[in-house]
This record gives sequence, structure tokens and C-alpha cells, in this order.
Amino acid sequence: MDEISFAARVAATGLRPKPEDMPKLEALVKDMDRAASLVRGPRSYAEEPLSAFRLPTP
Amino acid sequence: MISDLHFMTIAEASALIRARQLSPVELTRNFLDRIAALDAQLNAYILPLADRALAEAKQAEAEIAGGRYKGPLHGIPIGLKDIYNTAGIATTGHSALFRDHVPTEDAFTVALLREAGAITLGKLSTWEFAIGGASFDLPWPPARNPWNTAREPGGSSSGSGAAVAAGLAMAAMGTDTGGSIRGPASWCGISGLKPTYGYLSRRGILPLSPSLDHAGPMCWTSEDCALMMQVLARHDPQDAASAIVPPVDFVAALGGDLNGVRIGVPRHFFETDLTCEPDVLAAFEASLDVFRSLGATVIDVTLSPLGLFTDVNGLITAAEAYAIHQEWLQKTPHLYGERCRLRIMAGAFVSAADYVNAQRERARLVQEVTAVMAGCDLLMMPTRQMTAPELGDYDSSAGPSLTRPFNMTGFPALSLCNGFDRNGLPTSLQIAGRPFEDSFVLKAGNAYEKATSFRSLRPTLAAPSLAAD
Repeated sequence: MDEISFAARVAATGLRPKPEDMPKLEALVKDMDRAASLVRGPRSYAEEPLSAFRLPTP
Repeated sequence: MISDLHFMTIAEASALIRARQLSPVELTRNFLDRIAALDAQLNAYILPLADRALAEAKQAEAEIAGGRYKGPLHGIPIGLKDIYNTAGIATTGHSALFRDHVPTEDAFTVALLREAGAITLGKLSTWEFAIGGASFDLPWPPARNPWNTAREPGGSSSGSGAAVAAGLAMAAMGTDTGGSIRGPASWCGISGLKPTYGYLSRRGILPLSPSLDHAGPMCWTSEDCALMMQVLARHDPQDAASAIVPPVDFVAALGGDLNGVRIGVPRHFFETDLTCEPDVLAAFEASLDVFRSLGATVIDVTLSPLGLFTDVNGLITAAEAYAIHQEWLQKTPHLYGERCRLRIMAGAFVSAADYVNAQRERARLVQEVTAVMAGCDLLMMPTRQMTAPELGDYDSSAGPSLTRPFNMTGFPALSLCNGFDRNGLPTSLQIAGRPFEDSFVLKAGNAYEKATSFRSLRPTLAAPSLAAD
């Protein structure tokens, strides 16, 4: 991700980090993007989130 | 004549208090004097509550003298991580953002401790809002490690770990979203339990990542953690995650032997997935020998790579923390320190799809660990791959973490001291168990601590005013 597009991503969040924050923030986001790439893909209902919507039983 | 009141365990002190051989007022004064004399070296406390603590101690003493002994925490001086709400007392999260935040109600767990007669010595340092790291750009300085004040105490429950190890509190409450009880327990050489998710209420604790946040006790011994759990493990109908489980006698469960207990060791976690310091590895292998001598058997087990547990935990933490802090970070980012601000800002970049997939991967990992634990009763590994680094040097977001798998799964995990490295800094052992088998985890920890001598050594802090004590 180049510097310009990262700045655009930041702007889209409504955040206004200090200019000196940007390199560290970009590094953190890069790591987050890498982590996210590991969890993408088709999953079954057996892998529903732990916080799956459940109504109380009568 | 009892010496070193501040280094007694809860078990020791409560027996004397019950027998009216130890005054809660004398005990509390002793701790308050130490806090006044020594805490400038440690910064464990954000807000000592001397007058209030003495008033509570006098009340406890009167109740006990009147035959109204409440149990093992009655008259015991403890500290609270400053993300636990305390009615009428500032709860800052160690942040300028919450400097003037004064809750009207106690956290559920704080109320339980008060009902049990525990004395609140004060509010303890934390990493800002329980994330980031030791920071020097906050209204209060970071806590320091009592074994070497140039070192990290670990975090985020940094003041809790430092205070308990140094004898500035007999016990403390911490919270743990990725290792924030077990990390400081590890580097401060104490016992810290991250209970099963849902065992302890989260209500009234400043949230970081609600699906990963755990409250838990930090004490000198596993036995003391059991005494705390006896009071803390209560269903809270106002916490949606609070479990309804049959009551357990955590103290009675400490008894018995470990014959036939099967210990699973995911060696790849600390032999190939990350690099451990040699002294940490040696202490771990020696710990396994102790458990073998107590009748346990040790088997190797294999789980998903440690990095995957860490990454999924990181995604969920970032997204959930940002959901909590979004408005403040947009409007008043200058009220955060840099480390906390950047860590939580990164959560703005986790997409909804990635958050859902992370939670689904989490469900798969729970199934995986559950299946592995069908073949063993406990999992063991070091808590941290290294002993305490220089203060400010530790980046909790970097690299795989040995503690995060048990936030991900919600399974109980205990950190305890299993020795000291060549520099005299504590090494640590992590013991994890099946959901709601926290008492069994504590039993194993207690057996280990009783079989070894590491609980007899305390850090020494220089204090001219106490040198003659």
C-alpha cells in the first residue's frame, strides 16, 4: 500500500492522526492487513462466532 | 511477634485475623506505610486511599471483634487496577481522557470484594486503557518492576503485578485481554489467574475488547488466587457473558495429589513458533520434572501455529477496542498517549468482514483446543518467552504471544513463578485448563508452589525509613 492510498484510508475513517503518527500507524495497519488475510475464506455454520445470536430458551 | 506483615499470604494473614491474633488495622497501616515509603520507586499506585482504607480496616476489626467474621478476605488489604469502577473514587484508566471520571457504582467484582470485607488500599497503575505499553506521555508515570526498577513489570496490569510482588498489596485485581494478568504475573514473579471467560463479571470494568476481556486475581500464591476466586466467581445477571455454573469450593479443590494427571505441552509454540531465552526454557523443563515427580505424565501436543492465535486475537481486540473508543479518538485524540492511541486507531482499518471471519476462526480454534484437551488435563508452557526487558522496550503488539491463545479460547490460564534467570529476574510457567476447571488449574499451581522454594524469595527495595524494620 503506498503512502497516498494509506492517507486516503485514514481520511475515510474520520481520524486525524498527527503527521508524526502516520508511519507507526501504517506499520500497525499493515500488520493488521496481513493478519486479516489469514482468516478470509468460506466457513461453515460450525464456525459461527462465539457471540452468535441466540434467543433465550423458553 | 509477627515480622514482615506485608509479605504474608492471604492464607497466612486470614488465619491470624480469624483467630484475632492479627489486627486488620495494624496490617493495613503496615501496607500504607510501605506505600508511602516505597511507591515512589515503583509507581504502582495512581491513587492510594489511605484514609478510606484505614476506615475500612477499623470497620473490619470491629466486625470481627463483634463475632461477625465474613471469611478469608475479611480485613485483607488489596489494590484495584484503575480500570475497575469504584463508587465516588476516580477511575482513570491511567488516561487524561478519564482523569475526572468518577463512577457512581462499584464494579460487580469490587462490590463482591467489599462485601467479603477486603480493604481497598488504592487504585493501581495500568497501561492506558489496558493496551499499548509502558508510556511516559500520560498524567502518571508507568509502574516499574520491583525485582529491578529499570525493568518492565509487564502489563497491562502493571501496578497490580508490581504492588503484589513488592508487598504493597496482599492481592490485586487485574484484567486480561491478551495476557494482561499473566504478563505482569510472569515478570513480577507472582501468581495471576485469567479465569474462564464468563466466570467473573466484566460489569463496571472499563472495556477494551468485550469478547476477550477477563477479570482476575493477582496474588503471591495460587492458593491466594483460590481464596479470591471463592469470592469473585459469582453469576452477574447484568453481564451478558456471565456464566451460570454450579458453585465450586476453590479452596477445598486445592487438596489431593496429581497422580495420573496428563500434561500436554505444545512445544512448537515456544521451540519453533517463537524464540525463548535459554533460562526460560531451562526453568520450564525443570518445572515439568517437578510435575513428573508429583505423579503427572507429560505428552507433546500440536495446535495451530502460535502466530495464528495471536493474529486472530489482535484483529478482534483492535476492532472491538475501536468500537469503544471511536468517538473519543475522532474528537479528542490528544487526550491519549501515543502507544494506546495508535494501537486502538489501527482498529479502524479492520473491516466488518475481517472481524466476522476472525470470530469464526476463533470458533474453529476453540474446537481444536477442546479436541486436544480431550487427551490431556492441562496444557503447560512458559508464560513469556523472556524475562522482564528494559522499561519502555516491550511492544506487546509485536510477534507471537504465549498468553493470547487462552483469551481466544476463553480457557482458564494461570501464570506462576518457576525460577529466576541469571540476572535474578523471575521466569514463569503457564498452566491452562478446560473451561470452568479453574480450580484444577489452581490445584496444579498450588502443588507446584508447595513442592518448590520460589515463594520464599521476595524483591528487595531500598528504603532508608524502613531499613531498621
